[in-house]
Amino acid sequence: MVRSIAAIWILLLLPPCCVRSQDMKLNASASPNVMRVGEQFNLTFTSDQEVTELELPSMDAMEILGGPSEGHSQSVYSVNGKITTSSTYQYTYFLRVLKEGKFTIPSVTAKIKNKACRSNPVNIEVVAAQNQPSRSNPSSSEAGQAQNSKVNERDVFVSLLLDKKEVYLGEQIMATVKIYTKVNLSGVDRSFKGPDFTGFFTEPVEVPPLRNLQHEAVNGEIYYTGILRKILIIPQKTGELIIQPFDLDVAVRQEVHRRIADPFFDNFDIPDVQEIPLKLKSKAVRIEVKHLPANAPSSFSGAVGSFGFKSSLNKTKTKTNDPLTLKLTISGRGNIKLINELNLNVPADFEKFDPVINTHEDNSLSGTKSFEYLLVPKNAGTYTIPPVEFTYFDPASNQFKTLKSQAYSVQVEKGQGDSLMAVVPGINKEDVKLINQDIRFIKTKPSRLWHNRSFWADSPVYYLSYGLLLAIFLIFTGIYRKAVRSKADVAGIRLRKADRYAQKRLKKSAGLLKQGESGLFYEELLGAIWGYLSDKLNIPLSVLSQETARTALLARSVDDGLMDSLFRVTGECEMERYAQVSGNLGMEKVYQEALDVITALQQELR
Amino acid sequence: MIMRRSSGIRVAFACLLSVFILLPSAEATNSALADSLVAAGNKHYMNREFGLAATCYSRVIELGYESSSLLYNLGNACYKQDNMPRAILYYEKARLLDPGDEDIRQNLAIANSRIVDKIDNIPSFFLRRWINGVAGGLSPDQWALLSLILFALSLCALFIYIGSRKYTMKKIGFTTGILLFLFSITSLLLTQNRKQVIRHSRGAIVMTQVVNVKSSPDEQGTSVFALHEGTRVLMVDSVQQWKEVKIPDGNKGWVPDSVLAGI
Repeated sequence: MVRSIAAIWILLLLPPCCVRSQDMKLNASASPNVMRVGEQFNLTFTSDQEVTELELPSMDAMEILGGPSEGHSQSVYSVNGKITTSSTYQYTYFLRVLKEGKFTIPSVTAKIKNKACRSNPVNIEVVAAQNQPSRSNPSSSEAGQAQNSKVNERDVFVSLLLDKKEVYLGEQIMATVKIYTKVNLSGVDRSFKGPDFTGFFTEPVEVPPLRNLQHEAVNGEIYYTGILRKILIIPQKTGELIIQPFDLDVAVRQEVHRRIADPFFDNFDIPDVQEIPLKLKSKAVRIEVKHLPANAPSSFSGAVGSFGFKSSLNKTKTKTNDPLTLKLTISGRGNIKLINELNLNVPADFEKFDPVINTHEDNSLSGTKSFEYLLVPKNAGTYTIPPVEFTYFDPASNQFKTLKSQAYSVQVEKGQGDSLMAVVPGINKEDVKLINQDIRFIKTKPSRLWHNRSFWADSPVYYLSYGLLLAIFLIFTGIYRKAVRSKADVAGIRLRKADRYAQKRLKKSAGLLKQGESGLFYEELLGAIWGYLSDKLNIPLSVLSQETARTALLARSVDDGLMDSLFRVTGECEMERYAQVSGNLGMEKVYQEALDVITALQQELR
Repeated sequence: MIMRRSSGIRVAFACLLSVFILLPSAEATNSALADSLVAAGNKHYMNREFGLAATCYSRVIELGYESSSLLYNLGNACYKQDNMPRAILYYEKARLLDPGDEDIRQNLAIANSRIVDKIDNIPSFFLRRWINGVAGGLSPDQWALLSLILFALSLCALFIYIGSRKYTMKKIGFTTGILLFLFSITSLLLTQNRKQVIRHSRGAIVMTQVVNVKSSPDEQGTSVFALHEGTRVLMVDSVQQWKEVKIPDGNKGWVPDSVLAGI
């Protein structure tokens, strides 16, 4: 503690030049800077160093009454343990103006620590002198002047000043509510409603509380002026917009001389101060708002003014799930507060969070707006963050200007955090994300064009094709059957005929049996058997005998028993045919035997 | 008998020749023009000149040619020009010709999502949907060809039945022959069905921004509801210049036919 106090003392003892960085500046200012002819004013040069060889040039419009009177002040600040000292040297000249007009006091050369430096030029305005003797104290002079006379609107008025009267839609205008007075004001209604800015976006601007009124010459008269309110207005619609007059309540201090009737002495005037309430009314103001040109680029979102656009990315190499910060900064003059979110398209593998928007105003007209996007890469790889476009309308050059940020290439490596997820395979998989919805592309493959919605299925050709197929089928079937027929031997057909033939003859013989015609019966029966054999064995009747039949049957491996019974039946029939030994009974038996034999043969010769 | 059959074949061949060779030659120039217009339209579309592309495609249709992909491309060109009702109209036409196409369905769905009226398609009976799905899989001509092929195969199978001596082969030939014949008949029926659907589509698209649907076919009729452009309706009846339309939720009303474009 003791040591630190000692340090402070050492610091205080050091010459100020060693503590402060040196900026050799010589400031000149005139106070007041507006005055009447014959009035005097102070011209003050200020510096934080001692100034030598300061000399005023001689000017024919004014005379130097005195000076310079020197003043020196030093201050030591201790802020959070940090000590700074500053000293101020003031050199004041007293001058009197002799002529009417606007003058510039040229810059003055002087030396600070043996180095030449120049002051800034100072402008002053001088108006014609009034009839009344001018006094340096405004309050007493005005009070005296306004004595008993009614305060009119030339003495005090309020007006709305705009820095531009013809603007583009969205271009900002600085509106200033200023009070002008020649009389002493005792009070101004600070909470007045103010002008009604319908059709504008408004943004109040901080103004210091009204303390000192400035001098200002208006139409050759000196007024004391003060800024009551400053509002930034941005038109929201086009056309002629009129800001309607507004009211302001003020109180004017007026000295009134009251005549008191004194019973003992003469009547005499007692100066008295009275406050007179006054309602001031401003004038209506016209603003012409123009449309923006029609050819606005798609990235235009209403910014009007002149801007700069910067971008920065905190790193270009990262790991998955390790966020990146992309900062986009717009700075400049214009309706910076109304700038919406920028259109940032990040690759689909990045997660984009809503930006953190910071608006910083250097002063009411210009400022900086920054958008900080937090981007979280989800997958490893090399990605490109495309440039972001920012378009604004420049009213000075009447055209849209597009600024592009830088494109960044980002390398994303596989992060540590992913190893946990990788334990369960498949959990890392993602659905393909649809970024935008659009229709699918046209079909470029040439296709067969139909004419007049006519279908092949309607043409006679189509139906004829069925007939054609059927015809081909029938032809093939016919050819096939014919071929089969020609290939198959007649025996086959006889074979099939045999049964029928035999049955027919057997039936006939059965009829003859009933009639008792024994001769015919045996003949028929024999015919049936031989006919059957002839058909079945494919031997013509002419060559058919017991021997030929026996060999043919043997070739078909018909057993001997059956063969014996066959030939026994035929022998019996031959015998009975001529001998006619037995009667009806014998015929019945032979018939039955013949039937059995043929049935048995039928089985064998199948 | 065989002689007479062969003369029939000769006639059929003559017909075939005349249809396949003579008819196309008469329209060859127009067809070539249509093909080149389609190619030009595709080129314009790729150069993002959607208006020109649409004009090319429309010319082809004026010539009397169409195909599902041509209508689809025209729908795309209209969509890109932000003409939703026309885009929907052509997508619907394309879908009529090729109901199974995924791209057409997708783009139609996107276009439908961009119109005012919300369309809730009530799902139809599953059997009907199923039949429509199967029928829509092929074009009428494809169905016709399939039917013909199946018919030929069934005849082959029947030939096996007739020609074979073996019992099992006969059995197989007979059953497959009958089955194939039945399939062939089904394909033929589907051909007719698809042709009918394409030729006599009752669907229509509302082409004007908004139309008041009247309760009766005259201007003085009470307005029942309003339809906006791009909405698909079903034409149920018509009286002079008026059409009775039905919307998917079952409501019906009359509109002048000038506001509709048939699919």
